[in-house]
Amino acid sequence: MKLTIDGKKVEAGKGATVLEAAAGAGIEIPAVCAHDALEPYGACRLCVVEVRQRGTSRWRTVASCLYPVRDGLEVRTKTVRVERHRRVLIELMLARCPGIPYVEELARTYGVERARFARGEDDCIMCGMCVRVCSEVVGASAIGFSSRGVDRRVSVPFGIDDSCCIACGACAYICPTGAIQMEYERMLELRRSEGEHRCRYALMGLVADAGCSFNYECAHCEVDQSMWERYGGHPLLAVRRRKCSSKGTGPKERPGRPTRRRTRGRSKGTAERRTRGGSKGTAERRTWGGSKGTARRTRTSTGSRKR
Amino acid sequence: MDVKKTISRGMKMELEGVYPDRSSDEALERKVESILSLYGHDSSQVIAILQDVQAEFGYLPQTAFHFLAERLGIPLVRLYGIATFFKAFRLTPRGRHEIKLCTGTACHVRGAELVKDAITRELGIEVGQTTDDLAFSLEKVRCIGCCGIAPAMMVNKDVHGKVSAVTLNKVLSKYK
Amino acid sequence: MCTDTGCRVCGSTGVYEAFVEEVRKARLGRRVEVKATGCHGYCEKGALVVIHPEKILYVQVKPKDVAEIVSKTLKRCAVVKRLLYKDPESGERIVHEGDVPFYQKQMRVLFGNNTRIDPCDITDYIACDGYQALRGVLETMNPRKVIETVIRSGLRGRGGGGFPTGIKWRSARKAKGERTYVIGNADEGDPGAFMDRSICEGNPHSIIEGMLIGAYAVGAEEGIIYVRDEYPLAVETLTTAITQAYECGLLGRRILGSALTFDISIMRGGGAFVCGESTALMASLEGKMGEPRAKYIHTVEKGLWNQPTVLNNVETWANVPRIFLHGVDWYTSMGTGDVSHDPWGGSKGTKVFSLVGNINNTGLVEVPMGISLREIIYEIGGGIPGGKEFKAVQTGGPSGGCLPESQLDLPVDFDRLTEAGSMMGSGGMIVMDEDTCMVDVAHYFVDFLKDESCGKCLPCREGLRALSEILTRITEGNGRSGDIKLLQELSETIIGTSLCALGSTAPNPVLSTLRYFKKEYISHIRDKRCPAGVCKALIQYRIDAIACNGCHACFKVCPADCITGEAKEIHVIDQDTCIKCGSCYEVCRFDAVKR
Repeated sequence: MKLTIDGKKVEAGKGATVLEAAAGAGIEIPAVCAHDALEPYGACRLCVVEVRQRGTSRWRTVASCLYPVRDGLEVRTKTVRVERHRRVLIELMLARCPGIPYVEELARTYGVERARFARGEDDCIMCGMCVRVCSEVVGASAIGFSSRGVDRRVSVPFGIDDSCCIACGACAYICPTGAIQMEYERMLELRRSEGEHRCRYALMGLVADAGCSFNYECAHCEVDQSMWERYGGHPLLAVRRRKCSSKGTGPKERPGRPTRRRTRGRSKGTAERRTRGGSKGTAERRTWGGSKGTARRTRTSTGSRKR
Repeated sequence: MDVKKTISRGMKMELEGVYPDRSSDEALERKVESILSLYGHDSSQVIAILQDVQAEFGYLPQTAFHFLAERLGIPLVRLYGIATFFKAFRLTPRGRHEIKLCTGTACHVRGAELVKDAITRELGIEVGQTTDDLAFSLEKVRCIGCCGIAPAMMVNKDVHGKVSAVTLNKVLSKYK
Repeated sequence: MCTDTGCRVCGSTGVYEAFVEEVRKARLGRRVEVKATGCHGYCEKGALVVIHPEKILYVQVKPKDVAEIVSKTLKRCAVVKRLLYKDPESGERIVHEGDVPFYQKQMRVLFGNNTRIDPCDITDYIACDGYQALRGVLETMNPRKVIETVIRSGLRGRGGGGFPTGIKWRSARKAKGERTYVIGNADEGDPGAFMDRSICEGNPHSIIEGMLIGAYAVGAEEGIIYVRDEYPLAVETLTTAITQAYECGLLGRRILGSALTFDISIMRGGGAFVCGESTALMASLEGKMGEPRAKYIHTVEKGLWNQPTVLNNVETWANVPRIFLHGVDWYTSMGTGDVSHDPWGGSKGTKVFSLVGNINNTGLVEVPMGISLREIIYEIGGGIPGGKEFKAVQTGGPSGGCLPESQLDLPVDFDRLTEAGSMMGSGGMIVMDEDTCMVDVAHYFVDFLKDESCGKCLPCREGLRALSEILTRITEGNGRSGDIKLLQELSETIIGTSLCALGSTAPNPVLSTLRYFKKEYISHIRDKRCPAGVCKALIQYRIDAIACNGCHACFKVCPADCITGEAKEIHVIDQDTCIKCGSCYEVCRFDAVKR
């Protein structure tokens, strides 16, 4: 498929999206809810571009993360209209989640000074990456969306039932704003009470079944170290991403469901959406097995993922 | 597909106004199971199944969710998501008398908002709430198709037309 | 007689029972048949009774009137004058249904049979040429010819979009898939619209026949009708109709001896306006949350279960058999434009509107496309009650727009309404008089859509929240000078970037009221005044000392006890404790309470 993006001739595989084609050509389009390891979703709409199909005269505004490439398609990513839409969208995001570094940085980049709308006090931008990673990549479906419209939330069933969570931490890792944190104490408590001591990576199916001898303080464990060294990020996402990029046509393949999904009985740990106000220090210390090192890694890799 | 399936049991019970009490877990599972078998345990029929379960119990009991998730093989969180997404579903028991206030455009233009205020004053409940004695619950609904007699409201299955702050008391006193 | 939901509210069930009883008593069973039919449309005057073959129309019939009708009309062929329709202008009584002004201007193609058919009896439908169109199609046409006919008829989707039905069918026929689905959409969510319900309750077989023809054309074997759960009667009627169709061999295998196999099932919706959107509807049919997805690949190619899917509104389906029964030329003789070369070239056939709000004749009206709004409102609708001034008419449901007096001569068709900043939508038509505040109306619709948004994409979820917040501010008298510009800017982004049609049309009520009623916004923001006297924060109720005669009625109803005054003395409202409930305004018979 041959198309033109901002005047530049670009080639892309059939089935690829405009966003992927642009990324391949080194053209930057902002996208908050897109991730290489996940199916395209189209929630943040920041990736809007103008497209014109061959033989038509009308420019349409579309979401590039979902729009499939077509032969002869013309794409404009930085017109006045597109930029204006992006600024209003970021403004809306800023109004919902003021004081979140990730959103503030986005606002700075696109020249949004302040939000003209009432400020909320949420730290979740509803990009839905946590929900999708949990169902598409991990296969646990422990968290999901509930309610609708302005009341839409990410939560576990009934706000408390975490029986499907395997504490893999993928959601917390992928979350761009830090709205999801792992609750270390609860994870320990539940595991100890059940007398099970199994390695988290074994639950994810990445290493052979093994018990944990470090009291779940993963920072002291060589398995954990080796995983992060090998994958340079959350192992589940890294495995998935490589699979996709080797095909070159974007993430189209669904992963098989891990066989362990529903056989584990009660909670192994829990991921929870934290309400605002808890000290960030504590939250970070709690992240990912309680080690500062791990937490920092989470942060930096989240930062570098941003496009 | 079998047409008879579409005349679901729950639907019939709703029309007849059957309103069973909360039952023990075992009885609940038996009832849910019989609804499930009507739909051949087809997970794509989950919305219809939930509707029938709600018609059976008056709301969706939490224990039913776990049972349904297991029997249908779909994640609990998806069931919870559907139950909170669609307005038709309730996770808490309702009052004996359900007030459904129509807030369709015609009713709005003819003053439904004033009726809502009057109900709130009279019963002390906001939309979506139930009185402490479980006598009344208040819900806003979209057009009930009685625009000719707007503003309209439904109490249980009876429709009352041309309701106003002044005539409201007369209507409610029938149910007290 | 009509036993649709609207008339049931007016006690039609009791009237029906009384008729059955009286006819039995009078031993007229052989000559008279009492029929419970679907909606006649004139809901304002329910309960309605029509006596065939004379077509005598009785309005607002009560059970106690039945004995008189039976003894006079049925036995002695005399009319009961007091129950006849009274012309509000001349005061004359009108005997025949067709002569009533409400019906005169209408062209009841879809609803015409409603007064003659018992929806629960398939033989009634067959007696009115039902399933003849299907027989003709199966015997004389191949699927390609069927699709061509529909394209030539210029039939466009009645659900809101106005997409040419034939083109949709052609794409579905071409699309590759294991199987094709046909869906009838009766998830009618517009507040103030109930024509889909009336079709389902009044003439369900016309939908089934339409879907059968569609299934034959696109090669589908499975059909689904998606009905709102709030319409229990519609579900019941449709279920009965489908069962009867199976019994008559009109559904199932080898229909009418042809190779056509087709099954229909009913799905009840879960109560979400967004599920009227095709992709959200399909998601909920698959047992998921009703979230829309992008339609860059159309649903006719990848719809339900990723298979080619034809989704049409039930009103569209009901149009199909009519086209084949009476021919394309007959169909294209009604409506606007020329569709012989381009199906987008005009709007053909009739459209059902539900005419509600501040209007004398509330009800369902079926009119040929191209009729002017003025004709609908004044000639069919009988104008505005109480001698008030017309202010606006809102068409197209919550995401439509409000059109002022100056646009009343607009011919009603898909393209003209869109040009004027509104839309055809599914056919809601809400008339508003001078006592309606347009800012409040815009606020109402935005709030409705905010509640109904699925919340998936940012512009719709956060954008509508912000729109609502600004409008609330304005109606509460806290509007700021830049608010109008902000509303426009925000609306533009919501329209440009939303994922589905709910979001991308949601700002229409704001934009259309801004376009035609900007003055009202300005007086709310700058002068802190609500010209229509609706916005609570901006009005005061007070008693006119000259007009008040001390009848004490307001004193009695005031729930806040803020009115003082003895009987036969002038009453006064204490502004500090007044909760602005409007009760005093409503009960005062001397126009002494002002706002």
